[in-house]
Amino acid sequence: MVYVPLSERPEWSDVVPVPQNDGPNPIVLIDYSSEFVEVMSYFRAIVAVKEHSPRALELTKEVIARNGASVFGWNYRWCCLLAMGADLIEELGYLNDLSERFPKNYQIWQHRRLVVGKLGAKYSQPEIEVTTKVLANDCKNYHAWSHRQWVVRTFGLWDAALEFCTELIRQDVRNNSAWNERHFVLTRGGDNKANLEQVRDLEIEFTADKIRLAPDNESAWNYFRGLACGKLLSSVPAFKQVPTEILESVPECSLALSLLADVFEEEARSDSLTEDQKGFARAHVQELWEQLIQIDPMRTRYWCWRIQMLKE
Amino acid sequence: MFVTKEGEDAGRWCPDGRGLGTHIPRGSARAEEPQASTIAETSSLDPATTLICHKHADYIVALDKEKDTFEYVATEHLRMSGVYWGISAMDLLGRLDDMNKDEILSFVTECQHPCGGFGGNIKHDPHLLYTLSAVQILAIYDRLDLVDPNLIATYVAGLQQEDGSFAGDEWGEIDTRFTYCALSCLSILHKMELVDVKKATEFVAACGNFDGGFGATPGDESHAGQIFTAVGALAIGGGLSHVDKDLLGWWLCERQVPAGGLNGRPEKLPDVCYSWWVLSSLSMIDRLSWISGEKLQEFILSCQDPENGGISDRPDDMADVFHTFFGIAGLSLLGYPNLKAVDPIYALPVDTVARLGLSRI
Ligand SMILES: [Zn+2]
Repeated sequence: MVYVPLSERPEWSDVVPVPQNDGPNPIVLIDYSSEFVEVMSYFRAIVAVKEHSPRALELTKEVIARNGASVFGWNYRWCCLLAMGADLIEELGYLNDLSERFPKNYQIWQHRRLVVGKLGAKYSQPEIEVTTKVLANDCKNYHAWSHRQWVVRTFGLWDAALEFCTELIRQDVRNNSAWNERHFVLTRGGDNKANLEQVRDLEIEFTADKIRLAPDNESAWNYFRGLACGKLLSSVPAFKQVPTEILESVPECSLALSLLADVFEEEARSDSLTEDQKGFARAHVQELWEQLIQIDPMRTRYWCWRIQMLKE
Repeated sequence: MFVTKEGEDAGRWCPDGRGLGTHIPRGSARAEEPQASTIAETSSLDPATTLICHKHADYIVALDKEKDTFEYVATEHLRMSGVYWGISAMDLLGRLDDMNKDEILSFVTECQHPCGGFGGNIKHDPHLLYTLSAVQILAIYDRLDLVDPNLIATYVAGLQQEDGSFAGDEWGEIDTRFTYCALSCLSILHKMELVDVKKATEFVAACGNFDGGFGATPGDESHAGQIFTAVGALAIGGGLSHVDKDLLGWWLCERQVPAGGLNGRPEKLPDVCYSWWVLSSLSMIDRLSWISGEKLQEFILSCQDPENGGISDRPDDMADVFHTFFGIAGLSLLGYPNLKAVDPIYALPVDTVARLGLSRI
């Protein structure tokens, strides 16, 4: 779109622009474009008299178009919308376009939160869809995930949230953000039926399947360990069975070896096992760690530290 | 301290694409003019095994003189942090005297607003990120007397929220980064009593995840940068008991990839700046030795620009002041010879931290 200077637009003829005062000796020379300078001069004039009008709202668009991170511009826009009782659904249309073009701009997401918070639950579904679109292009976008969590939590959309991360994990089993979302949904869902402890057996099954697809996938193994929910690893048989099974086909899988070692270490320290059983576990864990030193030499000092700690 | 609060293309943690020139292959955006003397000097020091200190110092000094370059203009909104990265790197290299101290100090004081906060540049809105950078610069120069600590501390304290978290500025973005900025700032100013430290550390604890890491707000994914801020805030606020050191240490140690560098999240590429976030976090929880320092050192040295000086995010990308500082700081933590020691919590030279009376026992 061609920029028509504000000084040549009839609707702005009554406004005297306020130039920026840099003082007599600005140390840093900032090369702003002349358009930006003019827009900001008119914006300062509008803010000075607290004008909340359609043209002020339009002007904030000009400010934002030139500096999308201008908190000042965004905040004044919100003040105008509120003061004018403007149509927030129309505002969402404007934001949808921006969100897709600038998905890493925090201010846009923050503004959406204000608008949708005011519009209410009826607009929660389209909000979810916006994040779905953004995540389809960049599945690790931190702002989009955070915004999505806000929508899910604020409007209680837990079931659909679980389906979504199941689908994303199906598409890319290494998507760490999707695994994190899964944990978020299952632990922060409140009194929702999908509570992690209650669905743990199903989750173990689900995760084990994903580990089988890619045994070197750190994200799935971390999630798997997280299913212990703070309890001892050795209290869940799957934490021994799954790595053992993986090691049959991939004997050098360091993530499987390290989980198995952690389980045996717990057993070696356990008070409820016999001395014989503890001795067996101790010998076994030592063997696993020595194997890990061979496979994963970069972390040799870590594995040696583990060996040392058990001896003490 | 951190990259930016703004910019549609700027990464939250690492400048990606525009701005600082990162991820741009070396030589594609800047004309290279090899000088005979430079090449001769280079050949005597092997950049694969040696930190070419004098080149990095010259690179940083030159940055501030070339005010018409693309990088200079593109980073004007975060100039305050740029100055902090530059002088911290110079101090670690033992070359702080080469910087124009008077000009820097007057720039810093000119960026302060009547509310007490500092902007990223003159006439820019105040923000916690730049307020911390300003305080860090003044601390390095031992010139905190130029500002009123009560005024700054009041601004910082005013950003604490009901739940203990901190907003980055008056408009309200919440992030553990800002908790770190607030606590670091107040600690340097010896004004911790102005905020609810316990609530602040409890908010950080609520950002903890099942994998031992921390995110920006409760529920967010673990991320090495966020872990640095979370663990740093807990270290300053006396809340390290909220950290499962072995679990977190393991997650951090898994960030080292075969190339020797460290990444910020699983499946991401290694990067010099993430190497610092991970390394300093490991140091704060006394697990520094868990990764291979030798391999990491090799990686950082391989990211040097042997001709023009400066360090980039990955080998053969274009250098910038952000990665130059974090590269040098990482090497310092690894005990590289002839560098000043850096403090892992404050990301300041250890002698500055000691002078402030903030050393860890
Ligand atoms: Zn980086």
